[in-house]
Amino acid sequence: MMDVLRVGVVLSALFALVALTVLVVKTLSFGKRPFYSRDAGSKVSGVIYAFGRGMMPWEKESSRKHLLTYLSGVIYHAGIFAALIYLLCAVFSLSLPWYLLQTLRIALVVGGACGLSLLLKRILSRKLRKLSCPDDYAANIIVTLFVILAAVHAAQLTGWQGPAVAGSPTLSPSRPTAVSSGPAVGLTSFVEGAFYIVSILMFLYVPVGKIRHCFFFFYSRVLLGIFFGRRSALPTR
Amino acid sequence: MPEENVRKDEFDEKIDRLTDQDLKNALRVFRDKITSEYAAYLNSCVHCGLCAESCHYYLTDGELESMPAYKVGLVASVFKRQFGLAGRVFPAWVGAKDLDREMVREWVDALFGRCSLCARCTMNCSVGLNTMYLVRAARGALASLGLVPDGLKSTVETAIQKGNSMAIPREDWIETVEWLESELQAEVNDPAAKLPLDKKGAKFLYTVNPREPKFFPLSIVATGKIFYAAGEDWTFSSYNYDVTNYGLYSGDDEVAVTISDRLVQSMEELGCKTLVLAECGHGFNSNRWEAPEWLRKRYGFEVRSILEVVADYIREGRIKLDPSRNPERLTLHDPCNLVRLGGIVEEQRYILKHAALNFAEMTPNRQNNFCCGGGGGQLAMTRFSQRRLKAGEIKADQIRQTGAKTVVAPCHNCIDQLSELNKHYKLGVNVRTICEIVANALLLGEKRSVRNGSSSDLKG
Repeated sequence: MMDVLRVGVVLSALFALVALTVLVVKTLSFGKRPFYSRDAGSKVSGVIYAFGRGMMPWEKESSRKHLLTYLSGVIYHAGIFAALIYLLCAVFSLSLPWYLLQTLRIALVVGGACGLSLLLKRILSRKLRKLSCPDDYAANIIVTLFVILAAVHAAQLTGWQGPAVAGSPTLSPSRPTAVSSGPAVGLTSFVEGAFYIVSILMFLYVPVGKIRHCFFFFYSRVLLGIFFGRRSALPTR
Repeated sequence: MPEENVRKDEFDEKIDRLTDQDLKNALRVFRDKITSEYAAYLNSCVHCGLCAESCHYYLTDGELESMPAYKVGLVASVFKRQFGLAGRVFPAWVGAKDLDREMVREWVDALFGRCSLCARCTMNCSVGLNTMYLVRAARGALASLGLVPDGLKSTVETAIQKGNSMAIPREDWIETVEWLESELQAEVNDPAAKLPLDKKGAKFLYTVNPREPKFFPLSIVATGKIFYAAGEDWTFSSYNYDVTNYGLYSGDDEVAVTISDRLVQSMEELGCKTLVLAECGHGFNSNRWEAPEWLRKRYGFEVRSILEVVADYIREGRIKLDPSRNPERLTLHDPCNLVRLGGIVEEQRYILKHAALNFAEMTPNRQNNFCCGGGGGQLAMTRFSQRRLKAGEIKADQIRQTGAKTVVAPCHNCIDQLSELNKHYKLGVNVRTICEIVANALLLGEKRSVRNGSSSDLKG
């Protein structure tokens, strides 16, 4: 059964990749806007700024004013990347060094908590509710669930008996050797199955709604850097 | 007139009378404006709402409809419905909506009435969406329906029909320049001082905001005095001298192209090397950055702001200034189109450092400045004038906090709005252009010795 789910995860991830590619091609088919005006500044500097200093709270007022939400967002996305790495290891039976697994565990737990906090904010804030459509909730729920299940699965991998296995050089999420018997194995299997099913749903959902910003965020940020960079409006002094 | 009363007017009835074919045509116009960049932006908003407090409208009215994310959402919802698979199959799920009469009404209210295209939200967007371009694209679709609010619409029509946005006849412009030339001669005590018209082969073609000859003629004398002091080779055109281009604000590219092309024609006819743009924020953004894109043309000449030119004069020692002639505390307003969208950030500061004794920055400033509320065509759209004044409260507070007696604004639209804010919020300040400050500080007698001597003391 787990093998079937693992195949499902791979296929759904491929589907997401293909669908995103189609979306990108469709986006590019709208045609590129050429630049005829002469540059006054550097596009490259603008792009570097857009991905670096330009996102920092001391530089960006909105991040500063909403520091908690901003940090939650950053940590949430770190958790998502951690969960994707964890999924990769689980599906392909890759082993992780102990220190990396510990790092992932922290990122998953904190990231999942931040995802939940952002979901709660969306539910509780009247203005955010009005701004949101069902897709906003669905995307948040499914991705947060993905991170939380990865966190739970990673926690069960050793039953949080870190010191007992601390000497192990590596651990594989798909071979939970530290949990050896009884109900723990059943629970691990259940969590693992749930983790794979949620992963499949998440990948299938990528092209439908706002999760697509996993690509478009980077694209838009590059465009921001180019726009202000060539006009010499960014980077700021 | 209260806005509630204005809302039930013939503009509203015009929306009611829109046919399905009209709406289809508007969608076609909207589609034509969408490039891959715009499509990327429209796929990117995550509805985080962090942009809210970057908008002066939201800060002053606290209404959801003023949130930049809401405004982008209005444009994105139509985009998703028309061009997205999910938007066509499950519109309600992804917030996709048709461009119907109700949506048109919302577009007019939010995209014309609650946005000055200042791009402050773009700088503060978690993703980096270029809200200005998206709003402008939607405004263009509304323009195709004849739904540009009165005031802005008439300003655009005037510019197209009369050759400039204030409908100044050519003869009046020539007479005004001649009159101002005699004023300049008296001011500099030199009968040879000129405000040249149609001088072929001049280095600079200088443009003005038509509000200058109409209401602020002395700002033309101020600039003429600076050119005189620098010994510049420059000219006005007797035909095309209008730096403004309200096509930027109406979203109508056809109009924008027609207006932009006039200055290009004059440059080519007169054979000038540099098009020098007067102190006008949107005029700078239009002619320096947007016009070549509208015209799909790489200019064979340079386009510069008068601020860059004056800063060069000071650096090169071509003019000498006495800052003690401007002793009062003054502050600087950063026009969004010139600074955030134009990239002219430090020149005005460099100039003021040399031309005034007591310069105090507003907070925030430079690229993070707040719009005064007059941009985006807001000054022209009487329909939204109460909102405009309310949105200007942020700027009024900023000015008050500096304790300045003079506000310098290198933009005539901003000057009009700041003057209204001055009255409305009882700020008790003078509002002036940079060139007026510079002209007041000019040391004409020392001009030649400075030009021939060392200028290292002026570099900075």
